[in-house]
Amino acid sequence: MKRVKVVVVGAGVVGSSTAVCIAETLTNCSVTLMGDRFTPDTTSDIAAGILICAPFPDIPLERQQKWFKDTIDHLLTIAQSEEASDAGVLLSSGWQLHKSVPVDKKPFWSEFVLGFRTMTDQELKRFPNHKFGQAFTTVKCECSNYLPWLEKRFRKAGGQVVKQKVNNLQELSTQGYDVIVNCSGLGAKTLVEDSQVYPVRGQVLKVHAPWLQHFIRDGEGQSYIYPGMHSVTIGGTRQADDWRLEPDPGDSQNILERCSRLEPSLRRARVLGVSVGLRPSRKNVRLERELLLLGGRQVDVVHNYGHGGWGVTLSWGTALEALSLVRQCLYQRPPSSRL
Amino acid sequence: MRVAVIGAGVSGLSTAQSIFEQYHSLIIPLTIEVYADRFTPLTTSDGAISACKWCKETFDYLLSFLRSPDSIKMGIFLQSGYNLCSESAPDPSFKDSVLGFRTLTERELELFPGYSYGWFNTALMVEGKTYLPWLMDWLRERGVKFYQRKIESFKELVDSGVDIIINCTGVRSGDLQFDPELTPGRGQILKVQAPWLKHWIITHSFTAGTYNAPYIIPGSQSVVVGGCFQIGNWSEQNNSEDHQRIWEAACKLEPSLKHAQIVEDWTGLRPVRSKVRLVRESMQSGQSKFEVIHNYGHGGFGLTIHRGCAQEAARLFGEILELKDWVPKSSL
Repeated sequence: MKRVKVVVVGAGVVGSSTAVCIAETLTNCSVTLMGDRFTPDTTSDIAAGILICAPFPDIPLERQQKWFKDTIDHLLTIAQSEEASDAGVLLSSGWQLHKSVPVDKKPFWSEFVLGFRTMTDQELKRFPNHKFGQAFTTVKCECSNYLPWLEKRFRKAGGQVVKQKVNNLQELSTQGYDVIVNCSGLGAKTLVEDSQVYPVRGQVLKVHAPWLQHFIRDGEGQSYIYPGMHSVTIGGTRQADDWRLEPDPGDSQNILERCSRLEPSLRRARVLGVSVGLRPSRKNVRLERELLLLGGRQVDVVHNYGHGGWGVTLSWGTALEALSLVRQCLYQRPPSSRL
Repeated sequence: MRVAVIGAGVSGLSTAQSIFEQYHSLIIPLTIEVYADRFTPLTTSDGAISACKWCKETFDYLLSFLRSPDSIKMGIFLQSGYNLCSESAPDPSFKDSVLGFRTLTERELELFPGYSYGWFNTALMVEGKTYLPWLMDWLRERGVKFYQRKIESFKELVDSGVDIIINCTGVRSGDLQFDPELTPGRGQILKVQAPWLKHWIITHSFTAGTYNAPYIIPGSQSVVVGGCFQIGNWSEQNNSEDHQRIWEAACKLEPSLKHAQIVEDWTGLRPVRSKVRLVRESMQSGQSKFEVIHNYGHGGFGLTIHRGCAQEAARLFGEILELKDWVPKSSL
């Protein structure tokens, strides 16, 4: 019985996580991770990687909670192990600030982060422009370390990595793949002609401010300060349908001003660099399977894209669900097609 | 008036600062001199990085500088972390000198197998090796003079015309005046590179004693790993057995340290005393009477309470001025 050939398209954090889940669990499959870009050139590499999330409007909250919980539990285990520094995973405590008291004081993931609570009056004194805040400990997952670490794990599980641009799914059927796992992010717009996919441009600065130990995030996430292993990421911007990959000096200026108001010591921080990422956004993430007739063959396709700004945050949880969808595909295959 | 401060650790420098702040406009001229054989970065305070247990006064004082442009140069910053115990304990006295104090949740305790109870809070950190140079610059800018030499006796200073002596000689106070209650509490630490650590982790063992249980405190440039507290040990040499013991305990507490690069060891002698000696003493040398204010014996918490102690020393200074009629009572 020949092995089932699985290809995961897209080597960002979602594709890499999904590929690892499949390769480590479905040992009767041969798994290929295919993409035109790999770390450090993926969108995930630009992300600060802090686990925080906003809900998708049409997906049951329980399902999203499971995605969040699965991801943070997986990363917490890594953070407390010897692998932490290799994998680029660290605990991060800090404050989420609001200019007025929010209607919903507890985001849907509040029970999955550590020690979630309302900020005390004394803590709020440091932020005179804000009236309410939440303090908690979450995880920061730095993809410039995490993606190479995942790739090592993937190869150890027998996975193959191929650098190749995929123009359409037919190509993959012609190459003999039985199951296609589509983690192409923004690329899904053309790859599977999904008009719901659109970029949300984000610009970030990396600054040298080693005295900062806490993250600070303003309400809806317009402004944020995320201390990492080697630098502090400050941002950001949210420009829908903006495809520009070049840094905008006006945005940099604006980011520095907004963040310095939150944390005055940033005025003394040296700027190390500026980057831009296009969040692969969609009204709701697409995580589902379909059976397609491609080039005369029946091919199972599992979609796992459209995570917007929450790719790292939901990476492992959605990867696990994608894995279970792939499993379903395998169980439902008629025996003849396995020959 | 000439005031001589002996000792340039955090106690000496901050006392000089408090006295200058409160009296430089009342006593003209007020000459403050600091004498020490060791200055930063070679003092005990330089190896120290202090968290939690702030005496409220020191905490409030430093907190007020956090949003100022000086905060980075002062070496102060906020950091959150974990206090771990092997059994439940009453809330510590420092809970009012920190931000956001609370007990640890079950899930948090799962991160630290072997510990069943603890607290989380946000503390103000002060890095000795940054704070001391800042204090020295502050004092220099205001005309305080520094002299590198070992003072052999109070008499030496009195004979040269000093009016009041501030004794901040820490662990070597015994060289100037025998004190049976003062003893070194030797500590050795490892400095490591582990930039992924953003929280301090301090374990409390009620049997071994706090500084003997492992602790990990990230600084702005490296992470300090300890602990060791050896009463009566005067050795300032790094000890390889202590190194091994400290390192193993820390890696057990925080497995991610396994891949941290060890930069160097450092040893310091905490000036341990049953309680801090913060009093004034009238002394006599031949025909001369002189006043000494003692401010030493802060053990492992010198940085933690330095401002509170310095302010108290300045208050004692005022008492002396009043007693001697050196300044009208109404202006104090």
